[in-house]
Amino acid sequence: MTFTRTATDADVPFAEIPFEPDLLERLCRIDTDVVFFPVRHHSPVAARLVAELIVNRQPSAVLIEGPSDFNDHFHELLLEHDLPIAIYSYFRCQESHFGAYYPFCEYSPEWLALRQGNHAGAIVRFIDLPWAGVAQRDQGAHRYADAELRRGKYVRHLCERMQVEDFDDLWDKLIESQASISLEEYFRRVHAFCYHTRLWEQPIGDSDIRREAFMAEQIRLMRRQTNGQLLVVTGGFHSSALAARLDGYRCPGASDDEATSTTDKALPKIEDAGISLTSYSYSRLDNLTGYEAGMPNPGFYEHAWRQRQGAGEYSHQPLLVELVNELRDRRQTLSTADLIAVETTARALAALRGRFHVWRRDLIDAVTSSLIKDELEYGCQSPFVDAIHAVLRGKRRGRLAAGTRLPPLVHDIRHQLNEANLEAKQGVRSVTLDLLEAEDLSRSRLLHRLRILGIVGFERTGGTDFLNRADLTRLWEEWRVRWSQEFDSTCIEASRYGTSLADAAGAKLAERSQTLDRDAARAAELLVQAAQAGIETLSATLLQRLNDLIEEEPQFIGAAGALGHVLYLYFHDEAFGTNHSPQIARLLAVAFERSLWLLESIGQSSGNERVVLRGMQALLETCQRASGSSVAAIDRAEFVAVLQRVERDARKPAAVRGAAAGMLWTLGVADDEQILADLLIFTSPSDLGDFLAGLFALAREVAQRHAKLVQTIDRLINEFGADDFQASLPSLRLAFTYFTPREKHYMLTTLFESLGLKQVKPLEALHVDAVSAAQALAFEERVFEMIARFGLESPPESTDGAAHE
Amino acid sequence: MAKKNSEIAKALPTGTDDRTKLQQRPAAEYQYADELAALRARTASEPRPPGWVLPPHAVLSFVLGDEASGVSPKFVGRRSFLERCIVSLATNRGLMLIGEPGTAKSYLSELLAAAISGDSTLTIQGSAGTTEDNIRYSWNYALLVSEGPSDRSLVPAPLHLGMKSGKLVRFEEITRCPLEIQDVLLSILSDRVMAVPEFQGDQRMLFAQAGFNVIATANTRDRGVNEMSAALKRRFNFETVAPIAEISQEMELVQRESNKLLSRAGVPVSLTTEITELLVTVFRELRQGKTTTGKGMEQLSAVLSTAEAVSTAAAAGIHAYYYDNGTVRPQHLVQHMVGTVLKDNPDDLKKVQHYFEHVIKKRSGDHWNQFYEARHELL
Repeated sequence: MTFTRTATDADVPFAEIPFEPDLLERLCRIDTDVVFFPVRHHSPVAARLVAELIVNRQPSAVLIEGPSDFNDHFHELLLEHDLPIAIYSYFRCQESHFGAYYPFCEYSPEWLALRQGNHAGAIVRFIDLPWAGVAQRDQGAHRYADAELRRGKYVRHLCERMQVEDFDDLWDKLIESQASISLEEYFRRVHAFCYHTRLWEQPIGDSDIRREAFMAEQIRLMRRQTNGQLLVVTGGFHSSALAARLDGYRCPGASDDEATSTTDKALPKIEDAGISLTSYSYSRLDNLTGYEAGMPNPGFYEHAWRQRQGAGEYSHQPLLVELVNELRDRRQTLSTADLIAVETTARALAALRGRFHVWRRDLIDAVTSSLIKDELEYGCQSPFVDAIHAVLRGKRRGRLAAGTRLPPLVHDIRHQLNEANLEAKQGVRSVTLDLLEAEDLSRSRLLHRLRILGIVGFERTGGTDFLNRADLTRLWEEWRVRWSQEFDSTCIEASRYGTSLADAAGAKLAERSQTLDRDAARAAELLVQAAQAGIETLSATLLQRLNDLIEEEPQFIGAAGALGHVLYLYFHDEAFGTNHSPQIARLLAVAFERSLWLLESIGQSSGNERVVLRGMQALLETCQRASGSSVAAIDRAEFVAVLQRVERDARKPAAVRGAAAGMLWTLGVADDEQILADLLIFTSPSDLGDFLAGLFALAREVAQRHAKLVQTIDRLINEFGADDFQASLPSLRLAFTYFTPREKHYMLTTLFESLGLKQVKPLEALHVDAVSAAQALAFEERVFEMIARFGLESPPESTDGAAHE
Repeated sequence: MAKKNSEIAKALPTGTDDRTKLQQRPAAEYQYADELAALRARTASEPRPPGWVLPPHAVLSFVLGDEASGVSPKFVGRRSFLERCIVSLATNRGLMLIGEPGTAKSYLSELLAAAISGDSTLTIQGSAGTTEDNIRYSWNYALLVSEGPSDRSLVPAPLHLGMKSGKLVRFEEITRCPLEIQDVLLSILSDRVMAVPEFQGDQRMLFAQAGFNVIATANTRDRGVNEMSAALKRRFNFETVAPIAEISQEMELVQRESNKLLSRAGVPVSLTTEITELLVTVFRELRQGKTTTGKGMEQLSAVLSTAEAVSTAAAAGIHAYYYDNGTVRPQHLVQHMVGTVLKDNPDDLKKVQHYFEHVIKKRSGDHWNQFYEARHELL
């Protein structure tokens, strides 16, 4: 392998600080007083080699990249936990909660280093800056993700040269898939790779410089304390800078004056900082994406690690067995011939890629190649691909050993329940809350947060429905609280979401939002849940995700439904404190814009006009209310332009066009003449009712008092023959249901007055049964038919105005 | 190995062949004869699947390009996707390339055949009128009557030739053939043998020589692969050819190809980066049904492949040269999008208008503004 030659100093473009062969030489030595072990976090090969190195060289101290504020609790790591677990570091800062994870699984080099170091009697310490100290500059919540290596320009370059697709494949090719790799070779490859990445990344970021300065200081302190060899286990990206700082080499970012301290504005005060262990899972390790990603496919690497730990050789075949089982669980058929095809393809791919055995990417590609018999859209799901990813992800979930400090969330929950007098005791009790009372409201928030986190024993049995908003005269809730033996375990389980209840509930909602796809209505439901649980659960991540979900929504109904919820929370909320909140304002603007966009693409027959009309009402209301408030992003001119296009569009359903006309009328953009002209387009019995339904729904006030409109409708209906009238009846009925009886009365009054009929009397309901009514209708029809046959019908003008009622 | 490498090499074309000079479009093995020869020389001693001219990794270098050995990139796609394609051809299954029209499926199959067999001309064009004769073999009836069935009177079709000489056979647009014609491939792909019942004795069975395999292409718009028989599906590995993932790569390709088309048409106009970016962004957004900022919108029913973008760009260039001052401006693109984007579906026009009103209108920058101003050309 010619890896160390793939990039030389001549390749480094724009290098202020050039490549120093001496530094690389220094890094690769293992006989010096300080040995720098470069890791990629969660690399099994690194884990094996670091353990071997500790056994062979018996260093007096092992210094690991990890939060130094956890050193006081170090003994907790030595308990018998089921991995994966994580150190969770958290703090609060001006009402916002922040947290970051340092996850360990059984093949993590950091884990092996600390266990093995402890076993060998060495001093074991974490040496990284506490996370709170860098969080303002570097918000990555997964602290072992190797983001520095992943984003490097050097990586892209090297991937091309090494003919692999991405950083993960590159690492596999260089390190993991090698049948055996010696410590010396590992040091050479990884140090060279990481050092070059650093040279290409100049200037080095502020937070890295600060962290490295801190780590170097810790190493110096330890060197003064002990005599023997020090082993420094850090991400490979930092090794060169640490060596340069300690031994006086030149390296990018290795002196403190490179840090741009001018950006150090007065940072907000950090409160409630803390650190503790928490359980973790492979699915969380694997689900991260982007710079948070870390090493993918933990189940696969665990498999490789375990096989190599046991005396056996690595073989991919047990994974294929798992794949077959997984596919059977998913009810997918896989014939023997298919399995043979997967196996041969995987082997051939491995050979083509220059590997001795079938590796991660080969398996994924073999399944894609031999099992999928259809078009696979980019980024689309296929049961086969899902199954192989599930196998490679693994199902492991961590559990903390008994005797570990209980996670802070559990304390927080107990404390809050106690304060609110809601502790679950034996038996069941029912709690009724009035959401307009401050104390009850805070209890309701507490209960909602517990419900979001899935803590057993708290159930909402009744109350105001904020999703349908049918009856908002009384804002109340009823809860049933009962003791369950699963209470404790669900609390501990939930603690992986955070340390305070609000924080954890927010994280859980954010996670739930990640599972949604192009679904604005569900997104808005999550928003309502967050509002019920208190606005502080609305994290920046969740907001961003809701924002995205609304923007991706493909259906008008979905987007407008979301708009309805957001509109309520922003303008009408009395209990939750979301009224005029700036975060909601942003969502309101997004939902408005998206609904408007989709309104224009509504097709001919959506079938659920009523819901569409409700959505259009929400649009109109948003526009009207926003003009007097702080929602600046809503552009009235744009709104009007869209409505005018919709109104004129002959391919839109009549109801939508009617509604658009109604909106323009209400906004004062369209005049009466325009509306009457529009009405005359929809004189056919199939359209009239729909158009009116739209018009009435959106221009309720103006419509009922407009004499000319009422007269025109009256005339149009009078012109219908009996069949036409019957055909149009259902939609006409629907149109008039938008009015209350009193409004209908006004309307009739308007009509009668305009027709000169001064004597207005309410119509009386006739008490006849359906059969007689039908007979009467049939009789009437026969009479009309006969009149028509003999040409005796009167001209329409002279028909009595109220005849059709 | 079925044939010695030297024997295969003799049959291969060289770049100096005079016959190809006047051809409108020489086959890939002639066009890139020098590159193939260099790759062949460099990998002469390496193991390869029986019947292959190049070892698999050299095939990969030929298609994707390899700066170090002076091989130009010819196809833009993910490396793992191509690795899968090449490996499929080395196994006992055929390769089925499916995807939207204009994603360079046929071009890819031509490149693969040229690199693997040194011959990309064994091609069956699938259509509603394709018969068994076009695929297997037919007879020269005059000779058949006078001599009876013999090698002389048999007229081999591409499949027969490919099996006999151990080469890749390309089957274009396979799903456009009637199902019973598609199924001719069944026994050939599984047993690798073709029966010629007119012959007696050994000649009755034509056993495929090593190196024979089938690359089929099918597009997802006309009639997808759904109707294909399960038995035949099983004998193919399916690979979806995706549109180019990286916008920068697509821009580069569109700029390069359209400038090439323009110069071939004798039009001294070239596309600026801004214009190309605008065009490619619009095509990508309409194709993916998603704006660059992640807003979803309705997809068009028209095909918006990279090839369409190239022809739009070239048409705009020619327009600018003959009817304007020779600078391609956004309004030229709008005018020629009418022909490519808005083919027959009136809904598409509405979607595009909607796109102009809601997306393009809000973009800043002179090009975008001019593009928006020219929207009336769409009507």
